[in-house]
Amino acid sequence: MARSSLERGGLEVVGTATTTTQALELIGALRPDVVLVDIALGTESGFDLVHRIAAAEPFAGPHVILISTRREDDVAELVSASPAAGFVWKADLSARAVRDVVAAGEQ
Amino acid sequence: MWWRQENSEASELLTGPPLRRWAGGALIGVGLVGLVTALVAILNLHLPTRALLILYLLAVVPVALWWGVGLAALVSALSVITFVLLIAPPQSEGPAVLAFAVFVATAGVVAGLAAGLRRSVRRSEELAAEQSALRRVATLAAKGVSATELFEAVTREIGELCGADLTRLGRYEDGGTVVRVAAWTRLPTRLPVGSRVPVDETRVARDVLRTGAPVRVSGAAATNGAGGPLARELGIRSSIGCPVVTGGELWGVVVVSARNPRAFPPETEERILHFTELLATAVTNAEASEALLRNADEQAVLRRVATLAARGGADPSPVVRAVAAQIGALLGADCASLLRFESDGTATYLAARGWRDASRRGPGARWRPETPSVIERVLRTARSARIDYAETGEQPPSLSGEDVTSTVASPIVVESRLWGSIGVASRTGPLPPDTEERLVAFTEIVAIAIANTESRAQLAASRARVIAAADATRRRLERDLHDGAQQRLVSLALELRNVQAEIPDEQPGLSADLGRLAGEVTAVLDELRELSRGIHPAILSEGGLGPALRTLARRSPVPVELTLRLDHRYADAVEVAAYYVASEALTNTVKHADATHARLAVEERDGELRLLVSDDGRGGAIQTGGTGLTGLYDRVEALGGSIVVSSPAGDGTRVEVALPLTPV
Repeated sequence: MARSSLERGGLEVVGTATTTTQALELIGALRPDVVLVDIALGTESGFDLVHRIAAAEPFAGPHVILISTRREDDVAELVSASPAAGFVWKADLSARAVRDVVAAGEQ
Repeated sequence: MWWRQENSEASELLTGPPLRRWAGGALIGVGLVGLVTALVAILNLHLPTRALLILYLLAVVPVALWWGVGLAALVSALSVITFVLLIAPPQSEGPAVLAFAVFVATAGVVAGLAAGLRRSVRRSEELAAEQSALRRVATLAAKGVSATELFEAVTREIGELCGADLTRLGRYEDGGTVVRVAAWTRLPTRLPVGSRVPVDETRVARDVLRTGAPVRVSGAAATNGAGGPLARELGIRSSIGCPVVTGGELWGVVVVSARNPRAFPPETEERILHFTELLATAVTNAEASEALLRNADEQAVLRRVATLAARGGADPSPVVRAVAAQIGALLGADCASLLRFESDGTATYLAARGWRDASRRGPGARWRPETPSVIERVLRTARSARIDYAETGEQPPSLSGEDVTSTVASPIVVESRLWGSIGVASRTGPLPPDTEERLVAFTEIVAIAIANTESRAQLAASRARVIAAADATRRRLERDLHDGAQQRLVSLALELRNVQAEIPDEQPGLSADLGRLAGEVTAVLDELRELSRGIHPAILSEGGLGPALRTLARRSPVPVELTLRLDHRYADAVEVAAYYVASEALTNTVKHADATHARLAVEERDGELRLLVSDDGRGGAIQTGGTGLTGLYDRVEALGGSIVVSSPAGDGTRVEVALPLTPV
């Protein structure tokens, strides 16, 4: 559902992962421009994954955007404390929302 | 004064041994007769001879005065014979016999008068001595000197006044013993105070106890068995025992003894009784005031202990330490121990005071009570126990090197189970007979204190469990809500927007409807979010106390100055409690305080999480005023923490909370 929304907006979804380990492997293999990380990664924490992505490639890494079913207000402290470029609420998830965050992060 | 001879040769002749006294008297009598004869011989030249016979009274009267009528009669005979042989003319035998009779009669009267006078003088001297001795004792008693000092003074005064060699003061005790409380002697021997003998072994004390009246023993009876081995050893031949009666009850006995079987004149009992009456009054007063003082001391200590027990949370050790520290001095003991009995038959030292070997009695040290020891007896019988080692001699290894002479212990019974024991020990003689009784009063308070702290601990633990369970339930509710309804609504909103994006531009009405629907769903999500936030703040479980408090501060309508010094996560209960305190306090600030500024500071210090929320509002918040603070007290106290709210009217509100980080 999210995929269709993104692809309609012109973004190519190159891969999806359900665990931290799998995500790191895919990022290494596919070199995406943007990574969307759900804060609630099953039993794992999306924040941990964000830290590990940033630690793996401090300078040339992908843009990381945190997503969640929680509202930004509830997680803003954690998002701003993380190396992520920004946050998008899942109900608002669209290619444009992603581009806005990336654009804001590059300024 | 003429009857009072100073110490001199003359007084030797007057007061020495009878034979010597007699010989001296006879010598002086003969001398006097010679002098008078010489005088008569001189006067004979001028005066009628027969009239001169009367001058011999000058020899007879002094002898009668000092040596009595017997010697005076002899001197009279000598005078008459000398006169008749040397001076008088013949045929004067008749008048001479008459003169002899007159002389003896005069001598008799004079001697009688002199003896009476001397008796009254002696009696008045004795009375004066007795009165001044009594006055000295009374002064001491009035001064309120210690009982020991008073007892010593009484035994000394009685001994000196009665011319005794030995005086003892004994106190009768329950259980048929008499304990020596004071002793005085002029003999070179040591009489230990505090020694205790069965009443039946000392005849004088036994008879006084039996009759309640003075008892006199002399001769062989005094030596054999009356004073026991001591009397035999000292050669005592005469003893008198007088009762000391206080408040109608026989308190003790004064025993005076002497080597001389006739040392004590008949009035001695009466004189001693004057002292025992005074002594009884002093004892009654002293015991009353001592009991009063002791009672006051005891009350003070018990009050301190009770206060500690009421204040001390789950930890009874301050109570235990205070009791150990106070009880020794209070009961006149040198050492005190407080032990808890374990299920394996050992005892754990909780506190100990006054012991030379402190290392084996450190807090937490285990010990298996030995036989014979008072603690072992308490463990076995659950009753108070006493062992006086001066009597039994054999000491357990745990007391070696302690020089302990007397030990008493009482059980601590907490809710009808034998919990432990308090023991005291003395190095100076036996502990007082009422030690057990007073110790029991103490163990009962300690037991109540322990029961209180135990039930407080249980209460706090169960309260903490209840709160933790409630927190867990709320967290689960929030999660269920998020993972279920919220998740599905988010998907629904996303889907609606997807569908909306698929709709061709020529159907703007449908697109607008879908947009409105998506907006509705988002509004429901917002409502749901408010609801779940009230149930449990998700960020607290996700990110911990720091992010949660930052979120709280950011959302507050009143600006919050935030100071956080936290570097890791804490136990759920602590984080939740701290969060709710901050949340509730800030809510109050917003709702009631009319404040322009608030401050929230949290830091970890000295093993505690400290939290301070303050505002510059109008103050005057009351705990029971429905301001929501009441619930926080429960939460904080269940964790063994403290919460202080100060809210003076017009000067803002300040909530300070300390939460222990080690679980209680």
